[in-house]
Amino acid sequence: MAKRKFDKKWEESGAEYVANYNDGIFNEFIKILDKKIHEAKDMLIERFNHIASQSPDSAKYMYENHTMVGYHEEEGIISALKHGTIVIGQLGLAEALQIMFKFDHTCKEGMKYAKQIEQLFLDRTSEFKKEYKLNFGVYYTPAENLCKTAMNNFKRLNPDFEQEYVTYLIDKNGNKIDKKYFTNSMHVPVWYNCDVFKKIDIESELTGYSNAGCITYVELDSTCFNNIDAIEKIVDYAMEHDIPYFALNIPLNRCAKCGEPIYDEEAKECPKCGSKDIVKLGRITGYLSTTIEHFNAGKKQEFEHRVDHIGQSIFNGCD
Amino acid sequence: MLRILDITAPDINNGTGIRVTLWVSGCTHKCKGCHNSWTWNYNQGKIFMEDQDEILHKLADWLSRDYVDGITFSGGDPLDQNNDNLCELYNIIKWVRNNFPKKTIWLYTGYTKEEIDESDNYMRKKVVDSIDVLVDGPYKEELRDIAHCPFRGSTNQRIICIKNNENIKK
Repeated sequence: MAKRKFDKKWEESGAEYVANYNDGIFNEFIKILDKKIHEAKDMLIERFNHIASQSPDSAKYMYENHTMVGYHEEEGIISALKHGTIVIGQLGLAEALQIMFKFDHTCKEGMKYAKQIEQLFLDRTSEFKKEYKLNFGVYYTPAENLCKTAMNNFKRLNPDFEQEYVTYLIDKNGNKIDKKYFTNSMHVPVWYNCDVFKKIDIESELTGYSNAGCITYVELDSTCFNNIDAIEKIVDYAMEHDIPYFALNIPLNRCAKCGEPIYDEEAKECPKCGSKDIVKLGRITGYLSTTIEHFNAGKKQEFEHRVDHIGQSIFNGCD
Repeated sequence: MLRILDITAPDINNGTGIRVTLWVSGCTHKCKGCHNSWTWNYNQGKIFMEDQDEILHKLADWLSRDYVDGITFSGGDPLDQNNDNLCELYNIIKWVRNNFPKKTIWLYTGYTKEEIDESDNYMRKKVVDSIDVLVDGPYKEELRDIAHCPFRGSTNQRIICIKNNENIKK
């Protein structure tokens, strides 16, 4: 049975009232966001022009050997670089909605506002693409480093601001936990208890707005290598629901001494050689790794807060 | 009074495919190393007869989804119950059969199939006859090998096909 770490307190019924009340704030937010998107565009163009102004000698081997598609010597390296992607990254949709409405896109009302925000990103990047003839896009980023840096800066600039689900969380024992990260892109908050299908339902409503990349992952509680049917059904469900990039996070353990894969998640020692040195392999963002040590405190905490999206209690008989 | 500890879904560890698992309270086998020892107590969980509507509604919500393969009864031990409880359990199974004929029914018990067949507990046999797959036998810590025994804890436990439900993959 899946362990709950934090509870969500807002309900769909109450959401409507609060939402109407805060439309003014939302409109104000959209105006500021629009301005910031334009600033981001200007910064990206400045950066692009700086890079494009370099001599082909900056990467001589690549240009001379035609590894860069579209490169024409007489036009300079811009002829190759213009085919690249220029993206505006996005993180913390959940927190932005929480600040404005005290709920997020895990409820229907929140999703309405989430779509308006994403539509603005999509509209603007599409316009930039036409206007500047460059591959502008919006990228739903895990922000490996920025997730913490942005939260630090947010707290520094808003010293008196405190809000549950944004700057802190209350755990099952009533302890207040200082939150050190912004939630990955438009993801469902990592601590939110929902099953794989609901997570796919929610995130697939927003993936279509990203024209430069996104990921949806689900956390499974076992290696499930004996239950390929289940994996197939989950993957099929994601594919049917407009998820372009889907990842399953499963616990994978391996003996550090003899390399034997260990399928028993609770095993304390290797069944083959008896070594107690067991390496846990997992995905924090993007790639599989054996340690979370090289991630910053924000991403580490986010990783700790993640809940399994399998075996959710739908009827708790023991309240 | 049959008591229900929890219903969990989607479940991928207690039977093939995607399942809904109903956890029945109470077990007297008390296997050493049981990973659910808190479920042994019979006097916990919601009383099925009192919360019947809510429980069946939640089960129906999940069992009516295409991607759900079926239901699993676990616990506790759903067969380690008095006669009245076994009758209630049998009624739940019948309800699943009537309303969701395509879904498979798995059941976990600490008894072996032989023990069930040889005993004169009629109702217990009737429950077993009405399901599709029985996972039998007590958990033996010294025989733990979850890597090679899908959906089980120790090597003495078996997956026994009871009904030839066409939806069961061998």
